[in-house]
Order: sequence, then C-alpha cells, then structure tokens
Amino acid sequence: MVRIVAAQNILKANDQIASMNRSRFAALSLLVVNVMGSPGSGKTTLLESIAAQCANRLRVGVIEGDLAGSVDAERLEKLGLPTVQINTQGACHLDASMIATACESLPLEKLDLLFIENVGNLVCPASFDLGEDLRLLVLSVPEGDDKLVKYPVIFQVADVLVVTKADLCGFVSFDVERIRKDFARIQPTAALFETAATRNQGIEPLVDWLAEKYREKQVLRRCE
Amino acid sequence: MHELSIAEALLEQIEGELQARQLTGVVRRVEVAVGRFAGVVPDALRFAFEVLIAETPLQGTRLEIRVVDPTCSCKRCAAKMFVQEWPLECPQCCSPEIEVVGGRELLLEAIEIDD
Repeated sequence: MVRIVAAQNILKANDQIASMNRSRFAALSLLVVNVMGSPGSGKTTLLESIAAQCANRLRVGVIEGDLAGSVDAERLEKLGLPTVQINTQGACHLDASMIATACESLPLEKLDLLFIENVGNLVCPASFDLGEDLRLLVLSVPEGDDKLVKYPVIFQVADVLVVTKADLCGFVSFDVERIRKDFARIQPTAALFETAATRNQGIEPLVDWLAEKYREKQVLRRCE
Repeated sequence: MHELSIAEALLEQIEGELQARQLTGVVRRVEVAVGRFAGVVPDALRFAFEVLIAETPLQGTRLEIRVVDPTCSCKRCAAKMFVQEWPLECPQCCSPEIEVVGGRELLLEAIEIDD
C-alpha cells in the first residue's frame, strides 16, 4: 500500500484563479467588492443607490450572479452601468473562474469600482475567494438581528456589514445595537453602515467609505 | 450545498496527485480535515463525494473526515474553551476578547492506494 501525504487546501484550484483575478484587478487599481447576503435582503437595490451616488465620482461596473434569469442585471443596465450576468445553473455560489470569464465581457480599464453581486445565500459564498478586495455583507432588518449568531461563518469573513431596510426598524423586531455589538466582537476592525436605500438614507457615508478604500488602493499601487 | 463543488475540487486534487506520481492502483482511503468554522457540513461532503465517485474508478473509496476544533482562549482570564459555535464571550468572565486559532481548515491530508 502507498500512502500519499498531501496536506493541501481542497479549494487550491479556486484560490489560484482568485489570486490571478486579484493581480489583474490590482494592475488596474480596480476596487472589487463581493456583495453577499440572503435572497431579498436588498443587494440589488443597495447597488442601484450606490451607483446613483457614485455618478461623477467613481465609474461603477457590476457582475450579477443568479441561479437563472437576468432580472437584476437589467435593473443595473438601465442605470447605464456595464453589467454582466452570470447564471450559475443551480449552483449556490460564484467561484473565481466564473469571475475570470465574466471579466472578459467588461471594460475593466474604464472602471474604478466593480461590484460582484453573489448568489443570495448566507452560507456557501463564504467559502469561495473570488479575488475581491472587500467582502460586503448585506443584512436586512426583516431577517432579524439573530442572523450573526446563526450564520457566524459569513459574518467572520465580512469587511463591512450593511444593514438595509433600516426604515422598517419600527415595524419589526430588530435591535441594531445588538448587531453592532455582536459584529464588533466577531470582526473588531470591520465597518458597519445603516441604510434605507429606497429613501436614499445612509448611502452617502457608505459611498464615502468605498471612495476612501478606492483611494487607498491607488496609493498602494503607486507604492509598488 | 456548496459541498458538491468542494467534493468536485477534492476529486480533481486526488486525480492530480495520482497523475503527478504516476500511480495507477486502487484508491482505498482519502483523509480530509474540515475545520468546525469552515462552513462545510461533513455529512453533506461525504454524500456529495459518494455520488460523484459512483461508477468511476474511485468507487468504493472511503472518505475519512477529521473535524478540526479551533483553539479558543480568553485574553483576559486565560480560560481555555471548547466551542461548537463562534464564541462571542468568555463563559467564565464574559469578556468579548477571545482568541480563536484555526477552525477554518479545508485540507486533503492523505491518500492510501493499493499498488
């Protein structure tokens, strides 16, 4: 009998493609944000508001991931954003090779900020590196303030948590302070924003934060 | 359900290891380590693995999954703790400052082949 001792990361192949994506994005000083959250949490609506706020400031492109259809991509295309739709044909997450392929159809050199809207899911996307700079997790008020305790893995990998539909706080039981406290414990250095995108509330501070991250990335490139 | 993608990646890696070493024997056992906080359900991974190897040369291969517990200790009172959930506070002194090492592993550790 032969015993091979490997000790290798099972997702090595994905991670290698992710790091190729990352180098490509770095060479273009493109800030790439992986947007994750449950179906219906308001990811696309948040992106619409962010894109509107970014006009004349940052050039935004979007990769949309869904099991089927192109409803979300059509919404963002209406705003004049370069958008590519990925249909995962049932898969519950995006992976790095899907992003590499989607990038072929985007004018990356003409963008400052690329959002990748992941498949709506609070579990699976956490395991797959896409080559992004930031992981933005969306949590909507109607989902409840106990999600962090129930789905800790995805919160652990988030660089920024955006609470959406904050205008519903008076109608459903949701304690923003509980989320703020729990998230600070699990991710002490991460940022948190409260938004109500349909009322355009809280979007500006988030866009300022993204613009600062974009600026940091440009500085980093000049230093290299 | 991303365990199916992970099982596919695992099979590609096993095949890659065998090809690199030019081994053609029957694979008996595959050992994998999964961290408790890796977001991977061992039973789902095993199920996906068995579905994928059915009627392939790897059929009958045993998948051994070792669940890796993270090491958690309180920075304030130094209590060591074993946790199944992400610790939000120390069970002894209630401090939120807990150091967590490991627990997110997803590793192919060993392959055993009859030659």
